Amino acid sequence: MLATRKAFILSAPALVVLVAFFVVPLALTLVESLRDGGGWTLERYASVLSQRSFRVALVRSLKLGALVTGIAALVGYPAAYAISKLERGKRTLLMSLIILPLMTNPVARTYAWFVVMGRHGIINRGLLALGLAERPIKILYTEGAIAVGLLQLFLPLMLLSLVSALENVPAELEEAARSLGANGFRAFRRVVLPLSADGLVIGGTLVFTGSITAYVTPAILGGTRVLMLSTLLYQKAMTLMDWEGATVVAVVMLLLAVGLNALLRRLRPREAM
Amino acid sequence: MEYLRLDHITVGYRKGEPVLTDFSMAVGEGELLSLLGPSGCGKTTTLRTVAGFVLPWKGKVLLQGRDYTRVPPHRRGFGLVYQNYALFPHLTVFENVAFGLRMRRVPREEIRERVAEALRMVKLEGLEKRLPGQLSGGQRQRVALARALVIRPKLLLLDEPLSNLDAKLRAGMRTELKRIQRELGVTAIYVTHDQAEAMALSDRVILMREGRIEQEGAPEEIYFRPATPFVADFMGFTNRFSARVEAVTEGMMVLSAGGMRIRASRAGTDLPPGSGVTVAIRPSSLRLYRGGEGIPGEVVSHAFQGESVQYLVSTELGELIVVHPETTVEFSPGEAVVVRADPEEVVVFPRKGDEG
Amino acid sequence: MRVPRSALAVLSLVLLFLLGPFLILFWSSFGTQASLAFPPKGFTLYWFRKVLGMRMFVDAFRVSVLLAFASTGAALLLGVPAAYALVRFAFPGKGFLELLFTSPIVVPGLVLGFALLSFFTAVARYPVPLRLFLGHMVLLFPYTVRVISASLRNFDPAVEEAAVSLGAPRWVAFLRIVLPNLRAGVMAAFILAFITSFNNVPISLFLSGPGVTTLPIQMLTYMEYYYDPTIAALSTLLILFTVAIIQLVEKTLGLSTTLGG
Repeated sequence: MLATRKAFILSAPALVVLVAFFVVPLALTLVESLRDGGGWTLERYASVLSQRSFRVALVRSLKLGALVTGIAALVGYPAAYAISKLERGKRTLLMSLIILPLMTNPVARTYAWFVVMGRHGIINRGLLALGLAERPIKILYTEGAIAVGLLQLFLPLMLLSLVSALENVPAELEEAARSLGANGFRAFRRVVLPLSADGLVIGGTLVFTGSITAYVTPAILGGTRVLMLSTLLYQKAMTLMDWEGATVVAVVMLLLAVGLNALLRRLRPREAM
Repeated sequence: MEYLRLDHITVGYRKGEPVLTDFSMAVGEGELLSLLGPSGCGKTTTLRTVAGFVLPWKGKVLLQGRDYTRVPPHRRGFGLVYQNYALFPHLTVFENVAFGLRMRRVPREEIRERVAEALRMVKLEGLEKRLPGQLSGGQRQRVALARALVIRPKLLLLDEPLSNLDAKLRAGMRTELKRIQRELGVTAIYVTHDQAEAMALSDRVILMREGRIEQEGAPEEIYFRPATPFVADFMGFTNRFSARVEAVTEGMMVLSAGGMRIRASRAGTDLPPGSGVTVAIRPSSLRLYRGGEGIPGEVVSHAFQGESVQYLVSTELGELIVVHPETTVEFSPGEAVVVRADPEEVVVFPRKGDEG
Repeated sequence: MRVPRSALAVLSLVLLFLLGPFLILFWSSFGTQASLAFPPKGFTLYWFRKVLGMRMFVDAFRVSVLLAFASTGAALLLGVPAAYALVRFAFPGKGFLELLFTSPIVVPGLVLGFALLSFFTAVARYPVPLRLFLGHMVLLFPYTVRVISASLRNFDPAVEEAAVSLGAPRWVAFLRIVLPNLRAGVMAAFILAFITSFNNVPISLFLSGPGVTTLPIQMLTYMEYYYDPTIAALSTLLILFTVAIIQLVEKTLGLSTTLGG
């Protein structure tokens, strides 16, 4: 009981701060989304869900999230496999390069794509010079542009969790499989892949959740017309002054993120921390 | 003279799951007492209760009659030595040893003298400025010992202090530990799972099992006269078989097992003829012969162990392990032999259906 | 074992994809045209001089740095004792606390920012700097708890007990024995939290106010109106700043300590 008291005293300040400035604000938002005038109602949800803009944004978020996660897994696996086989020094260097997009100011990171995808950007210049296009094509403010930006931001997360999972697969196992007659690809598929599946699941959840809730990338590369849930939330709250609608969007995003995380915890209770 | 007493202690880490229940024991002044037992027997919990890191649910810890049960650990003044040394990684050897004195606000000059003296005692002069990371395992354990002794502890508590050292170093440290403890006359409790260590070091041994005292006594007593099959097993009486008491004479018993006769003495003399018993014998108490009286058998295999040879012999009583203190292999696999036991070293327990 | 060529090829493409845009950005920040174009013409440091002289960016930078220091410090002050409680004690409700203490990472930043803005508008009408400070502190707290917990778990409790048995009360043992050995963990938590705060958009977006704006938000605002390479120059500086920090972390602590959590 002494331990309980000590633990409580030590964690009390954090508990107070988190309850006051995390739990209460979120709870208020949730309550507000369910209330109208005096009573409880789902009317706000009904009204937001009936808006085309919301449905488009929701579907787009899920679609781009799935797309980015899929590509990240597909591209990330061979890349992470290659990294995990390199010697220590090179591996560290590569990892520090790979995390650069994660650690960089998000506006600076996304702005770099402007130079690549803009009307006079490197892609359009290239297309024109090669005669593949007559006029600059529109790349910015499309779903594709958002997907590319999200992939650059979240591929490092996938790589980090895959590399750490692959590092835990003993090289001897793969060699043993090969010595038993499996060729390189089969050794990979039958031995390495199952043993590193955890990394794929964790990385995938991180990438998907991150993609459907990210703000800066869709805000800059999608603009005000190609909206995702996050940019819709901001637009409703700050431009359209539709506070009630914004509240509903916020709760939907919250439920998606929390639900996915809970799912991950259930699947992999230990690593999720 | 009784120095420390644990009085009807009940303690554990989780509600409803006590590790020790109504546990009592005493340590005499200047004595080195070993708590011996397999992992999970409660020996470390006992030590941590004495140190004050776990609070007993019931019962008392008394030191020279004073109640220490609720004295916080930092006011007890007991020295502790851990298995993994637990040195302060960021402090030099000198500062590690000086820590307890600084906490006691001992004057600077005296600290210097006492640390130097403690380091001299553990033969670490000259290493004052090293960090723990720059020391060998043996040196670290000496620092840990010096650090615990420099505060002139009322009680020295040692938790498997030698088990991280390699075999050669361990034997040396054992002798030295004993010497230092004698020199200082400090009362010590020594926790270990290594019976050889407990035998070599202790004035008295308490052998524990599942939170209870299984047997308590001088090392020789425990070594030669285990009181229960569990103790026998733990003390290396590897050969076991069932038998019946056939006749009892002057302190000597005649047992019959599988139609063969074995003589036993010392233990269990009050068993009436006809009682079923379990016989336990150490491999080193058995001898192989090429003929004569004894248990007939056949050598299955042998293993040369440097200063002894171990034979596996198949007999009517099952496979027996025999160790000869010789440097040459005398018997080869397939050879017919006779196994004989020294009656003085045959231990007998009444059988109550179960051996546990 | 040899690495398959195809895997190496994919890795090269990945690196090109992740880092290529930065290189192009660097290049274009030295161009002389007033609008973004590729390839940039000429060479000038004009945009760098311009951005370093712009009041709005200099002020926002100052706000960001101050905010990052204050909220990181506060998150550490809350996080170190909380991590200690979680790692060293077993008590009822521990699982719940662990969940609560890590959940600000799970909640989307934009949602938290929005909820906090509602809260600060309707319930607690705090001044803007205090709002930013509290919002960032809540956001950073899980990082500090996680990193400090990890390094506490690696620190043998017996060492602390040894200090107690030598006469040190618990808090003295913590200050003189535990804390010095957590230095690497605290440093890692500090850097991770500092960068997280310094780069944060979603929370600052909602909580910034007139006159008190963080650098990323100021950049977003500027980008709505101007297309000149000013932002490119500033971005170049910020990316180099990040590279320097990663290098520093790698040299002193090792990346895995910092990110592994």
